[in-house]
Amino acid sequence: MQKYLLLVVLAAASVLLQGKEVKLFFGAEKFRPHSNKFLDFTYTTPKSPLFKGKMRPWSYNPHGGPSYHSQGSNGSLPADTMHEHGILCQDTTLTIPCSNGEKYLTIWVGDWFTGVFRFSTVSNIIKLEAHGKKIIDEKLTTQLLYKKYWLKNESYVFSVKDDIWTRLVKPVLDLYRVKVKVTDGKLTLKMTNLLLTALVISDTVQEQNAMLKEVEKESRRQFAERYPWKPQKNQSMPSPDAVSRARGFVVFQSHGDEVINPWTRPRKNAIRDTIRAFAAKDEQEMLRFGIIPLKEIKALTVKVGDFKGPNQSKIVTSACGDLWRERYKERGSESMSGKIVEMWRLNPMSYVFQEMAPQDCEPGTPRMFTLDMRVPADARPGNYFAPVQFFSGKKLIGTAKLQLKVLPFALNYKNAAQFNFQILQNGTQWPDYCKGYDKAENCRKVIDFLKFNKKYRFNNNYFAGYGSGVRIGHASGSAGKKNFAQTEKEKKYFKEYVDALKAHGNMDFLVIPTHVFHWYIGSGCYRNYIYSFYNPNMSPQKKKECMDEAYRIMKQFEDLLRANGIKKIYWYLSGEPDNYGLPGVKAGLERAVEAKKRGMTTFSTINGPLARNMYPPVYDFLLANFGTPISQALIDDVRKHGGQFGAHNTGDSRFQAGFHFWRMHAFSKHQETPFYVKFLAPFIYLPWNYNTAICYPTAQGHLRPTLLFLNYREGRDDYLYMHTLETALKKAHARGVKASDPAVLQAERFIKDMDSKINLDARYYHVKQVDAVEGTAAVKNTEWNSVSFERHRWLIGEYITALEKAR
Amino acid sequence: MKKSLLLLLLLSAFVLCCREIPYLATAPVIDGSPGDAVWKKAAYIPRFNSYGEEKSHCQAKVWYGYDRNFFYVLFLCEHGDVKNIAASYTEHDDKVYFDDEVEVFIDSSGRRQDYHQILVNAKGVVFDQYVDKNGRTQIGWNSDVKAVGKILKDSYCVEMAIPLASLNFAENTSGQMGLAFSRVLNYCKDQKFVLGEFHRIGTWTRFNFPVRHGVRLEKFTMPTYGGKHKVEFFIQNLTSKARKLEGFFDKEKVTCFLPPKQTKRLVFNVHHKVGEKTSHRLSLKEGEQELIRFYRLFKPADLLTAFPVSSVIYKGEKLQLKVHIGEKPESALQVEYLSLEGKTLWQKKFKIKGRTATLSLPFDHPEAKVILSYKGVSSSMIIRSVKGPWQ
Repeated sequence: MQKYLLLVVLAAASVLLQGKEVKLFFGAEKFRPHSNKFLDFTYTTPKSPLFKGKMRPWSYNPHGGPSYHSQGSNGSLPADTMHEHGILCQDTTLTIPCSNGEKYLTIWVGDWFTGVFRFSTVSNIIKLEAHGKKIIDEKLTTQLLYKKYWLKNESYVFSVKDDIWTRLVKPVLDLYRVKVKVTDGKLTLKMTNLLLTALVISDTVQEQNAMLKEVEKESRRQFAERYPWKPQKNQSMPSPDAVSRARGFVVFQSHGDEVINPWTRPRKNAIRDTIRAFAAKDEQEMLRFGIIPLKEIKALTVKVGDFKGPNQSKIVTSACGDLWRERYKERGSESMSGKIVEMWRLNPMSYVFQEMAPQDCEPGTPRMFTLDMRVPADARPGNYFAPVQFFSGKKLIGTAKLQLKVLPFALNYKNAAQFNFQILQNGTQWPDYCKGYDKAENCRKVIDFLKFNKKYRFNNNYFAGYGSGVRIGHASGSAGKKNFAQTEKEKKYFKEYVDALKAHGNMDFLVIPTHVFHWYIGSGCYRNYIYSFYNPNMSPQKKKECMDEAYRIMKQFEDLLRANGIKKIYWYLSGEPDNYGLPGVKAGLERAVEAKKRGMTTFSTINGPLARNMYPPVYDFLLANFGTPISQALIDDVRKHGGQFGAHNTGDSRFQAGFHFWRMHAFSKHQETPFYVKFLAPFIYLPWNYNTAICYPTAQGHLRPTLLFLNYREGRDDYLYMHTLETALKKAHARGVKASDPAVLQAERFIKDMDSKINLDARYYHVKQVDAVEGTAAVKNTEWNSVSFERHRWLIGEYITALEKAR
Repeated sequence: MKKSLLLLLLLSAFVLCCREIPYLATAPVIDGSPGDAVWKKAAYIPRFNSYGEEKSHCQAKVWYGYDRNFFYVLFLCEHGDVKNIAASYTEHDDKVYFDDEVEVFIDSSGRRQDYHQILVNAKGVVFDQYVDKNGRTQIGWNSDVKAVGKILKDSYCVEMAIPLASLNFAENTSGQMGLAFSRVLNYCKDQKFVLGEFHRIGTWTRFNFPVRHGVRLEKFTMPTYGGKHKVEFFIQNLTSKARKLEGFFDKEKVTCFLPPKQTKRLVFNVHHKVGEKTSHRLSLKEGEQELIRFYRLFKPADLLTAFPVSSVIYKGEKLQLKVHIGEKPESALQVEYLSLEGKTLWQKKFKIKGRTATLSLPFDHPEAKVILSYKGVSSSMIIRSVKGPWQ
């Protein structure tokens, strides 16, 4: 019946469509009202008789559940109605009636959201054949994913000549133009895993060109209506001096948390040819600087020489530093949903680090650079200077200097709070999830991640293993009686992972997210987001058996870790349980009680009032986010029961990582959000994704930081300055320095002042009310800014030096 | 003849395809109690549908009806654990959607693209918002709903009267509205709905509704700072008929003549007291029918806020102070430095032009208390200066 219907449709259509351009765009049956219109395109769903085969359509739903995996995932309103829909053609034939002759086919491929992740865990093949002609025949390897998807247009820095539509909308879909010859009244497309958005069949290339112009015009019109963004006027700048005019650019200093937009111009006190920073021994410090070109500069690059200091001491820049050029990127959305509502979030800002490479510069737009230095622990205190050279091609066009003042004390990392991030595997979509992915590459990347964190002195406290695809163990035995076991291969992976943890973990303790552990070893104790012992149909006896089994396997793993030198192990038994209401909180409580019976250490993260009230008496380590909310009463409550308090997802700004975290006097800060990003999306560099990707991939599959990441680290170091001060104070007391000593008095007073002037409740600093179910929040413009951070650090440094000298 | 019959049949089908909402001759008393006999005349739905996985068997019932000026809704929601009922939010437009609550979705313009959502928790606290055609939410919109919530033995009851004039019927040319209800038990994460799904306007049930097309509040300006201000409303007549509206703005009587197809500007003087919860209400009727209802509730911002760019400065640097005045400045801003013992070290008055300013001041003291004062309101901070790293 369907075949007959198709024939009838084809016959009728071929008559009707004689000489008429065929324009189709594709999507789901359910769609946002009025969104199924785009110019004179016909909205077509998989139910159309033109289609045959396996398909998954999607259409934008502004109120869909937030999920990377969801086909109807919400997020930023797409640029136009064409971008609101698509069909994933998994194994599909599309037969379109048209007149015979040469046809000019235009196909739009891609989608606004998840991109290749829609199918890549199931298949890594993409094919498109148009009327017998092979257009796409791709196998998704990790290398291809890095190059074509993660790093699409990565070499682009910025130009005011490119308007916002060209920058942000045009690159989302891939456009294919194909010429075919139709002889049987129909054009056939065969597709495998193709993200099909729209298709036009034109009779002439002139018709095709005219159609493309119309499509672009309409897309621009709709986009301007949906996102009425306008760039700001260029700020004013002092008149350049003679040196700047002669070389063709002004040099200025900036700081990590300063937002540099294309219209930013430096203030008078920032313009200088000597870029200055100070740092303690064993500290990492950014020197950020930029130029304002006064004329066109072609192929600009920058080189920095070694730092020369007192008594011929030297800090070798290539060994101790990373020099980055920055490219612009829009700030993007705040929340996980990826929604952009406020237009300022589309302001381009200089933020993503790239390897040094030539860039063409137009007059006016700031071009930024950051040298990230690691001051050796044995560096001699004093002033160090390094030359900076600016080149246009091979020609030297100007010079400047970097000054690094090394302070006479070392930053103290001992007994400091641990700063860690969301583990790599969980919640992100690395290419390793692709079908047929390279296991060795997967393992390499996990270890790479550990090394990356260690490089920046962060801590790898969270256990992940290599994920479920490369097991480090399994559960063996009959249901209810399983034990932890390892094959020879699993033993090898386990040893490799644990050795990597010991070498690069930089951690005092290991947190094991319980559900991840069971998931990854495939124990069966945690499936479909539920623990096996929560089956409501289970008898109490069966429930006990399941629980005993789950905990037995965990204890066996814990013993194995201890035998391999990992001594402090915390079981992460309950994560943000208020998300699941009272039943979720009660279940987390039960799991903690069971763990404690078995001598295990309990760890949880909380984000609401139910867990806030119920967890402190039970959990050994309790981390809270601002939605809980965090108060002195909560912290005291945790400590009263012998537990330790930590910060969970309390923000990724410098202030939130630094002085505000210090104010909590917590044992650890965990920040999930840096890796909540759809790495596999084809537009990772665009703002439509949740933009807390504070690390970016390199073409080789390694990681590189962004300005946000280094800023976060600066915040961590602000905390360390306070920690070093407190340690110096304790040591002074221990040495017998008098309580009335000026060095002691000023340090104590300063610590007390900081304690009283920083508000413990983070919501005080938020720009607006945010839901604290997940994530972070933008902070208001307050006293806590780059100017203030530097001066406070300097003062702390003075106090530390005075305490170390005090006798 | 056949054509006319066909047309009549089609028209009837069109009309009949949409349901009717009962008109209530007597308004219910909004007190959160389900016993009012008036509700027997309302439409009644005894059961909601589960949204996603059912986390609770607790059911909900809803009654609804309208009269000339209000849309009435009564919810009665079973609750499995009233001792642990989630009802922690107490302020209007707070995160009430994290509580155990009920929701009303109304597409009053009939265009199936924008809508209003009114959400009330078990204690009657309201969160309401307007969602535009692109899915963008405006929490600033207020329905001025009268809502009362009561926690009963094994349930909670929410009763509400929504002013029709606060919704967007003025632009409704179809004579239909979309409607859906939901009930959320956040304590156990159970969601249920009826007549249509959460926020999915295309799924909502269509009702014939006698719309009051023609007059709308086109735009308004309302400063929310402390002090004296002018508030403006632009009332637009979309029809070709002249209209006369009467009513009040807060306690002030208002009469407004609207020529055909024209917009009239209404201006009122207000005085906002900083820190005090403030509300404004505009209500305009044509005869007995209310056509415009505007309501805003807010706390006027502080008259003076100030903070230093840094409370620690290098010797020789200027002290930078960011100042915000919550009104168009009428008086001078005084800045004073005091020693820690209270002795005046320096003082000066400044004329500030706009509401925000950055002052760049000399500061030659190792430490001082800096006090800013405007119209009797003060802000103070301790500033220290130290020899800098480059000196």
